[in-house]
Formats: sequence, C-alpha cells, structure tokens
Amino acid sequence: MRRLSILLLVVVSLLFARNLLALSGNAILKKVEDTMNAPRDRIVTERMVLIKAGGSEKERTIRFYQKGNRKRMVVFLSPADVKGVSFLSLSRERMYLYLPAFRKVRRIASHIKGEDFMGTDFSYEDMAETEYTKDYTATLIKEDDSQYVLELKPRSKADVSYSKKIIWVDKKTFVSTRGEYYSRTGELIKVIRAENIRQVDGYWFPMKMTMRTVIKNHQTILEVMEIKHDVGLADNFFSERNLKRQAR
Amino acid sequence: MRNCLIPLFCLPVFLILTATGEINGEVETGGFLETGTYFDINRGAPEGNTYARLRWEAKTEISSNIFSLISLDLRYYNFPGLEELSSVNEIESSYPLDLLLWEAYLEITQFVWSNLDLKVGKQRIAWGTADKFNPTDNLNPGDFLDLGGKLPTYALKADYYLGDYIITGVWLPYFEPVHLPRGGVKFLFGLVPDKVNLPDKTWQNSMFGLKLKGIAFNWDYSLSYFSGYDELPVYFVENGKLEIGFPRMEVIGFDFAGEIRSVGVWGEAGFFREKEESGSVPGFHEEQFLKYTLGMDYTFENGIYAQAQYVHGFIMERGRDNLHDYLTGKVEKRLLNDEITLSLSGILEAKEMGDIAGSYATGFFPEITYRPVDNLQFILGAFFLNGKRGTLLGDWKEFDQVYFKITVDF
Repeated sequence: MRRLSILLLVVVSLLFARNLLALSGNAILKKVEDTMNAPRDRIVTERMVLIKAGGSEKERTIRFYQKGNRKRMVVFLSPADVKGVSFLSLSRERMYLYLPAFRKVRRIASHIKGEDFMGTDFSYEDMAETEYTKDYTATLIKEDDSQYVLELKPRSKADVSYSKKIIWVDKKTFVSTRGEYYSRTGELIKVIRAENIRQVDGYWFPMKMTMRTVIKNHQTILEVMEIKHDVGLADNFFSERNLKRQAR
Repeated sequence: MRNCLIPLFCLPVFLILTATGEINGEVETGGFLETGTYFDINRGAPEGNTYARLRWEAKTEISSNIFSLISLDLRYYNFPGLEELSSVNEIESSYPLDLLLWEAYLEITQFVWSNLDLKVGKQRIAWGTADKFNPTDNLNPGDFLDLGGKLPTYALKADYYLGDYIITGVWLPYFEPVHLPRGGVKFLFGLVPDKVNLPDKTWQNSMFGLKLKGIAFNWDYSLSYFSGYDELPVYFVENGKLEIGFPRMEVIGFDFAGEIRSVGVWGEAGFFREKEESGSVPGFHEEQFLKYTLGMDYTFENGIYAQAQYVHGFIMERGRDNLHDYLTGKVEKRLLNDEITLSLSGILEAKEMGDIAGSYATGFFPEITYRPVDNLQFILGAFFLNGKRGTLLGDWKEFDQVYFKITVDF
C-alpha cells in the first residue's frame, strides 16, 4: 500500500511537472512575436502577385522595412501607376501615406486599419501588426509533434479588426505557418499561409506568404526577392523625411 | 514660346550630364498620358472640350546625397474651332499645344549638417492638412486646367529635422500667377484686361515662407508664415484701360491632423493680410480675413469611406465680406480589390449664413473609376451644379458637365 502511494505520488508529480514545463498559449504567442521581431531591423524586397478568382494576375514589387515592434515602412517599386506610393506606421494611431502624384504626406487615421492595403488581401493592420501579445490573449487548443494551434482573442481594449484568429505555429522555428482570421460577426474572412521557412542571417523567415480573402477567393502572394537583417536602420529612418526619400 | 524655351534648354543639359557620366546612378524615366473630354450637358456634345496631357519624367541619384528630377508637361486643349479657311494656317491657335517644364530640381540630403536637406529648382511644395481646400498652401500657384491642382514653381527649400520637429524655410525668387487654360481669363473673370501688371522680378518682390511642424499628444500640427503675392488678380482701370495687378499678401497659417476614437480629424486656417504695394494695384484697400477648413473622415466596416469638410472661404474668394461657407462631403467605395472605385462628392454653399434658403447653391459630383489592368485607368464622372444667382456654384449652373478620362501610366 505504501509502495502504491509512492508510485501514485511520483506519477502525479511527473504529470504536474509536465504541465509546468508545457508552454502556455500566451508564452507560445510571445515566442512567435519574438521570432518575428528578433532582428534589430529588416529590409525585404518582395514580389507581390494579386490573383483574382478567375485566375488573372497583377504584379507589384514592394520593399518592406521594419525595426522593433512598431516601426514599419512599405514602398511600392512597381508598376508605374503605384510606384512611389509609400506607407509609414509608427504606431497603431500614427500612420502616414505618401502619394507621389501630390508630393504630399498625408496622415491617415486608424479607421483605415481593416481596409485592404492598396488593393491587396493584406489590410493596413496586417501590414503593420507585430505586437500580438499586446492585442490578443492566446489559448493552446491543439498540439502535435510538429506544431501548436493557438486561438487568439482580442484583449478587452484592443483596437483590432478581427474577433478571433487561429494560428498554427511551427514548434521548431516558432514561425506561424498558417492563420485563420475571423470577422467581428464570427465569419472566417481570411486565410494566411507561410511557406518555405528559412533561416537567413540567423533569423527564421517565410520566403513565401499567401493571404486569401475567403468570400472573394482573391489572393495575394508575397515572395521574397531579397532580404537583409541588422543593416543598422536608425530610429529616424522611419520618418516623414525618409518616407518621401525612399519613395522617389 | 518662353514656356517652350525653358524645357528645351533643361532637357539637353540633363541628357548631356547623363551621357558624359556625370550622373552615376541609373536614370529612370516614366510618366503618364491622359486624355479626356468634357461634354456640356446643357449645350450638347458639339460644345465638348477635349484635352490631352503627356507628362514625361526622368530622375536619378547623382550621388548618395544628391537626387535630381526633371519633368515636362505637354498639353493640348480643345478641338480646333475653325470658322474660316484662313484659320487653318494659324496652326498654333487652332491646335494649341503648351510645353511646360513641370519640375526640375536637385535635392541634396544632409547638406552640411546631417539634419539639413536642400531642394533647389522648380518644385511643388504642398502645405496643409485639409483635402483640396488648403488656405495655407500658397507657395505654388493654382493650375486651373487640373482643378485643385498646383503648378510647381522655382524655389529654394531647406528642411531642418530636429527629432519630431521639421523647420522649413522657402524662398521663391519671383511671383507666378494662377495658371489658366487658354481663354480662361475671360471665362473665369468675365473680362479680358488690356494690361497685366506682374511684380518686377526684384529681390524686394521675392517671396518666402517659414513653417514649423511638430507633434504633440499624438496630433500633428504646424505653424506657418508666407509673404508673397495673391495668385488671383485684382481688376482696376488706369488711364481708361482695364488692367490687372496682384496684391501683396501675408498669411499666418496653422494646421493640425489626428484622430478621435479612430475618426480622422483635421483643421487648417490661414489669416490673410493683403495690401497694395508700390502702385501695382491702385485703389486696392488693405484686406484682412480668415479662411479655414475643418474636416473628418471615417471608414465603416463595410468598406465605405466617408469624408466631410466645413470650408470658410473658397480658393477664388478674398475679403472678409466675400467669403462664403461650404459644406463638402464625399462617399467612396472600392470594389474588386481597387479595380473599381465609386465615388459621390457633394457641396453645399451658403453665401450668407443668416439667409441660407435665399443664398444657397449645391453641387454633386458622381464618379466611377475603372482600372482593368495595371497602368490603365478610365474615369467617367459629372458635375451637376444648381443654386441661387450670386453664389459661386449657382453662377455656374449652366455649365453642368459629363466627362470621360483615360490615363495610361508608364
């Protein structure tokens, strides 16, 4: 009887210890965020393909700059009718758009966050977002040998466009490989897939991302053409001064 | 002709610099071709007004700190209004073409100090946070061919960056008046002057502007000062002849932009002081008046964008007693990933706030933009104006128009 009690205690302790060692949903989400924001800065030149339900395609080239959790800049390099259009995000409430035809930087308010970014399937919020843990709480809903599945719900005062996100996280790299984004009415509206995850300069990054808008069956593919890390972008690189300069 | 000589001089200089290797970076070229027709609804299609516009641009990084850009604007107006056989010989007046040097500037970043940028040459300097109705945007003259547009002008601009602050100084060596299409003086002002009195191109008559832009409590703001000339002429009679002149003008400006609960909010105001100087506009009395624009915008969850602005003082209005009040609105919906844009703009004018019913006018401007493929855009739109005589819009109510434009970017 005494041996049985000890055995029971050992089993319970092991189970308890396993639970202690297991990562919580929020801890996994923090690791995803840390992976995404690991480099001091990043410059990515990407080929962007917009594909309609019927299969016709439009192609763009963009350059994406990021530093830390918040600072983001996107510059359209082609085609001619959008060349030079640039977007700067300094925080959720401080965003600017440069339209070269008017030679003017215009502040844009956060009501635009849920809108398609320049006709793509990515919204302004999708392009700017990397502070998952600030906006969402995560629950681990599933786990297998290779991945975690998290359900993200907005925090009470978070100003986000989605009512729920489900993301699949690769256990080895802590890169999100798939995501489902739900509207405020609970409908699945977008699905994102990340493929060809590679380690570049010591940082994990998906070389291809596809965002599909479910109702329209329209998708936007982003393929990395060139990527650089830790090039030393200063804080003031993300400024009105540079927004115009990068766009020219 | 003078307009043609400047671009014809600048273009070879740019090409020679490129050919001789003085320019180290790659020269990028681009531009757009736009053509359109305006049909007068009340008078029928034969009165239609056609134009074509070609913008060609070349730019390059001369070095890591020096960027240069040159662009030309070729404009063609109207179908030839030939009434006599002899008119066929008058090629220029029958088929009017204008070649303008649009922009031509050098931009030097980190000039002497790392925080100082310098831009020299013909350039557009856009001030103000409001949409189209910008009382502080006085450095470039209006371009009435492209309503709401501005014409780049020669200027020396210096921007000094200090954290979140930008200090801008602009010097414009001489004054350029509003740019009107051919026949525009008579069309807009009703009278063709016998003489135009432009300020002499002297140091004393040069213009300048100063601006401080900053951010406080997440709101962008700027304070500005401009000393120059009003781009719109004043008519007067001198020795029995009808003449126009341009009053000296000072503008103290303020603008802001930010958001309240996700709603975009902006405002812009200019306190104008206009006076006659050195006899250029005899009999013009000093005027002091305030123009301002307050606006807000929001995008609803269904993707409909809505904007509203309250405007005190239209672009062409001057003098405290002559400023009308306007309420403008715009609703826009983008469809099929920006392939189609539906837009409806409206404007309500009140000449006298105490008697809106007796002094109002309205305008509606529906527009459809279709972008079937990259670099190609079709626009179909219309102007519908109505209102009481004596109002700005009401006086134009016979000029309702439908227009169609095609733009190709390259």
